[in-house]
Amino acid sequence: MSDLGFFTLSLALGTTTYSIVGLALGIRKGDEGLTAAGKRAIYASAVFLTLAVLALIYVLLARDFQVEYVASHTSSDLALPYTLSALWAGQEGSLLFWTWVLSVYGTALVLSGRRASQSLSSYSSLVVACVLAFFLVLVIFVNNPFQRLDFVPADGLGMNPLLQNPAMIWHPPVVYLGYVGFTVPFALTLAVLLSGRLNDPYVPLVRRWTLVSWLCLGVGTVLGAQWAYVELGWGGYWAWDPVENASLLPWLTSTALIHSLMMRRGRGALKVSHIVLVVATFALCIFGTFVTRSGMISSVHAFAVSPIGLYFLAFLIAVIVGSTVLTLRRRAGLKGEDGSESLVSRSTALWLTIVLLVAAMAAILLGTLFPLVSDLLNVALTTDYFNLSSALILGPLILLMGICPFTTWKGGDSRGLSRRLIAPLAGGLLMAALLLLLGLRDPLGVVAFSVCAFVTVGTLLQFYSGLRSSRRASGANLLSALVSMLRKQRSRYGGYVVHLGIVMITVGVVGSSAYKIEESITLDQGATHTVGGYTLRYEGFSYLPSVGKDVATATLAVYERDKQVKQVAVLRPEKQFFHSSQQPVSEVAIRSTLKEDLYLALTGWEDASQRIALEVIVSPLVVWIWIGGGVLLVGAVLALWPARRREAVEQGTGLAVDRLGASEDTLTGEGGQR
Amino acid sequence: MKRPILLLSVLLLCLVAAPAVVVAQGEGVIEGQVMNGTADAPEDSVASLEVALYQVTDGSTELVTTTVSESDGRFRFQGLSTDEDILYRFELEYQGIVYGAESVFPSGDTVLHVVATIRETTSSDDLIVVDRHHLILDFASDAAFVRELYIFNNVGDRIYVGEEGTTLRFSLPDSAADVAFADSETAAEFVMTEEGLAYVRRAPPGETQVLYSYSVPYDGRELTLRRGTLYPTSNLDLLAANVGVQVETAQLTYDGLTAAGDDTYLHFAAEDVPAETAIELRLSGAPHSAAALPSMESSLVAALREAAPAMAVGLALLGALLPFAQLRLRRARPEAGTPGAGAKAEIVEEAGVETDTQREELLRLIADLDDAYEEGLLNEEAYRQLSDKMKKRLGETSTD
Repeated sequence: MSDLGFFTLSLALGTTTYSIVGLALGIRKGDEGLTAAGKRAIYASAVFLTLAVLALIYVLLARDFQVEYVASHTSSDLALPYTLSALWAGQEGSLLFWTWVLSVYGTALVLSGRRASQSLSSYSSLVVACVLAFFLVLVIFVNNPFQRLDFVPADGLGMNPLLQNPAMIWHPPVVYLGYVGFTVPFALTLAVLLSGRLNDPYVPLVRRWTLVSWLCLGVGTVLGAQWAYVELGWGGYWAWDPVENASLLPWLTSTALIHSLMMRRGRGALKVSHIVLVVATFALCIFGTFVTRSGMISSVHAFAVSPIGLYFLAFLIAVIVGSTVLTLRRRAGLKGEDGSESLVSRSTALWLTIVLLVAAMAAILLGTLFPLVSDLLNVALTTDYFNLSSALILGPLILLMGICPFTTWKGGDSRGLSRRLIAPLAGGLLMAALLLLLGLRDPLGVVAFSVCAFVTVGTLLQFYSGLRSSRRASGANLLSALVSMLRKQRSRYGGYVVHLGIVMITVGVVGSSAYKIEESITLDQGATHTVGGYTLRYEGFSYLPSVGKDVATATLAVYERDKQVKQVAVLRPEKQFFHSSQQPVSEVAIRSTLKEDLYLALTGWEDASQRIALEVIVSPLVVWIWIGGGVLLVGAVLALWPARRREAVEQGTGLAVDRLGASEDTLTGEGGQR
Repeated sequence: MKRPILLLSVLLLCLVAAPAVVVAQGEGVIEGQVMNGTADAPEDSVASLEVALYQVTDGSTELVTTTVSESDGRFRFQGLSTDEDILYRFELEYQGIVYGAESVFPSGDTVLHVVATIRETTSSDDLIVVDRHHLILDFASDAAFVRELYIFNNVGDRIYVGEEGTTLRFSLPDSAADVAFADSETAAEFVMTEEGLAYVRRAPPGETQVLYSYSVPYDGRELTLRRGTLYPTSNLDLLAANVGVQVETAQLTYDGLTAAGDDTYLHFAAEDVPAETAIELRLSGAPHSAAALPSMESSLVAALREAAPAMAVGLALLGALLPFAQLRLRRARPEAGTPGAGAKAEIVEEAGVETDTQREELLRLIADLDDAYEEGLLNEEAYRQLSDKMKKRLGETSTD
């Protein structure tokens, strides 16, 4: 089966080179038949790559340990879900998975390209085929997952115990869907530049692709943070590790890109800001892979270090240089950027948002790359640098999130804006007063939570006023008015829901980092310890063999002092010793409420006296990060699904406006805020 | 007079050097806890143990300080640098065994918690079992080569230290020769004994893997190989190369053929074999020479695998060349007629395609516009204005 896998990969390379040459030749010679055949070859590549992925899944499930990848990442006692997730547990498998996802995206692009102009569709397919060929060459010649050993090991080495967590089944593929997805906006942007169709509507072309990839990357990053929280046993979820940063960086630039796509001047045609953000996002995705695989910057994620990093570096340079040259060649024909006569307008607010997001990206990128020069300068950056710089930049950004929806495209009406902001401001001030009354004296916390309240009230007001006009217009009941409002303006209200999700994540981050209580304690059998309003009573200890591992478990009863002391939970933190690994793994026990998490990690014990050592953390509001991640998902799906009709309208009216030269002002848009 | 000046100079030097010393010492604290991993260990086993702290920087190790554990096993080092580049190693000795562990200060933290688990020892092998024992037999014209892999498990909570300096025992057939190990370092962990081999390393609770090989003379006629289990064995597997040699054994069950690389092996297995069980393997028949009788299938597969990367390159090149060939074939078609006429025909055809595309696009736009109007995204005036213009264009396109 592994031979079949390799053979199908070779066939995929053949069809992809056919696609590249066929499309290039077809475009150059104006041969439509050849161009169409080149596009169809991408379907064939996707089919062959699907077969290759199925072949790898087969050898994993059959536990064919003669295949080096299977022997290195699975063992005969590995549970079925993790055996399947071994597909992306190692470098070779994840590269194959990446390539397969790219081929599927490529197929979807070709299929969706039927409605776009011929030349755009051909050029974008050509770019995707080139990227696909790069990855196929890596999978076949550098990191082949079907490589066989000269002998058959009795058993595999097993999966890294840290990766044996449900979050690891979803986190990597969702992040990959995001990373790979940005290839499509990149391909479409290069296609516009290559074809010279600079006046065609660009925004409707890339909007949905960008949103899908942005959503996957965002949700994947939150899933990764949750894995770190429950699996690494240190009570945190974000350590500013180079690989964590590598997924955050393209997410920041793509968020900037989404906001730049909202700018309406130039009727949705390509602008320099779009090119810069699209290329930066795609390049940062490649940079992320380079960081993980090159070992250039030390990282806990750099499980496998190989020369593959150099190939990615070369590819990264090619992407940046190629895009720059192409943009310079077309610079004369590109549309001007949005500006506004008024300082207080939607355009200015969006511009500021983009600038802050790019600044945050630059600060984090600088910190990530700093270890390369820190030895020369004899200065090291700590996590304080990241915490401070991101707070300084992202703080104002959250504030802006509350102001932006109240601005108008026309702008200039600062008095009107102030009037509209009275209610959100009152909400913020009320929160500040409430926090001070409750005894919170930390200025950072008071300001941060008040800003969050300001944004929340502002966003909810948008929903309220939308609902009111929808009811007035339709005369329907509240529920049908809400449905009608969301149906008509999905992207707008989806965006607001996303904003609410970001506020929740901010609340969680501020609460859990500024007010965390952390203690290392040792307890004797039957002893109690009080921390942050909880009293822990150590009930018992066990050390039992399980499938493929031995498990040490401490049992603790948790009492909370409300009006009277009552038992609220029994927590069982564990330490697991996998037979296939020398590394013990913490299985933390968490009591999660909307107010705070009580987090227990077993760090050691004494068999004779059964005395245990524990790390106890009380982390306020941390659950809001995961809830915020879910709300973000709902908001983005609302904006995306099923947006076909609305997008067609946007595209249709945009095209009509362009073709027929009608004045855009004649469109009513959406209450003047389209 | 000289004495006060000397004293003053020393004092001044101390004052100047003090900040440097303070900086070097740092504010890091290591809070340690010695624990005994054996259930019935004496309570005071963790008390009064000398713990040495070493600092490892750039590959060099130097002793920083030592301390003695308190009655409850706690120990503490302070005034340490929290630099993440410094690896701290602490060691302590208990019952003649040195226990050690390494750690660095977590980023941004000044307290490092460490736990050192010591264990009692035992010289009894009652709790030593073999989880897996593999016997792999390969044949040459005059000898049988045997590889033996053991996965031991010490299921107790004490470190097995054996007697007289040796721990785990292994039997060897009488005629065994050329005993070999993975490397010289592994070889140094074994000594020859009367019954075969013995291990000199201690066996801590958990798994210990051992691999060695040897050869026994075999002329292709008949050989009885006597092996035995010295410890209770959960899984015993015999893999004999499938090269024509007959293998018979009463203690193991035949489990079919199994593939390993390009070769196949006869697989025999037994489960839960008690200690001191005699295993008799009767071998008969001459082995085929692997080189003389290669299987057609395996050599073809091997050749194909060898050629696989070249095949991938070939397919890539084929893919790249095919469009050129297609283009050439298309151009060479006779119906094109004279070059001038062909070019004109193409232009007319393209114009037709362009008109069709425009018409389709306009029809789609009109439909979209109707939808937009129905959804209330357009006011009536804008809708009529755009709709009229589009319909006019549609009319023009139809008459083109």
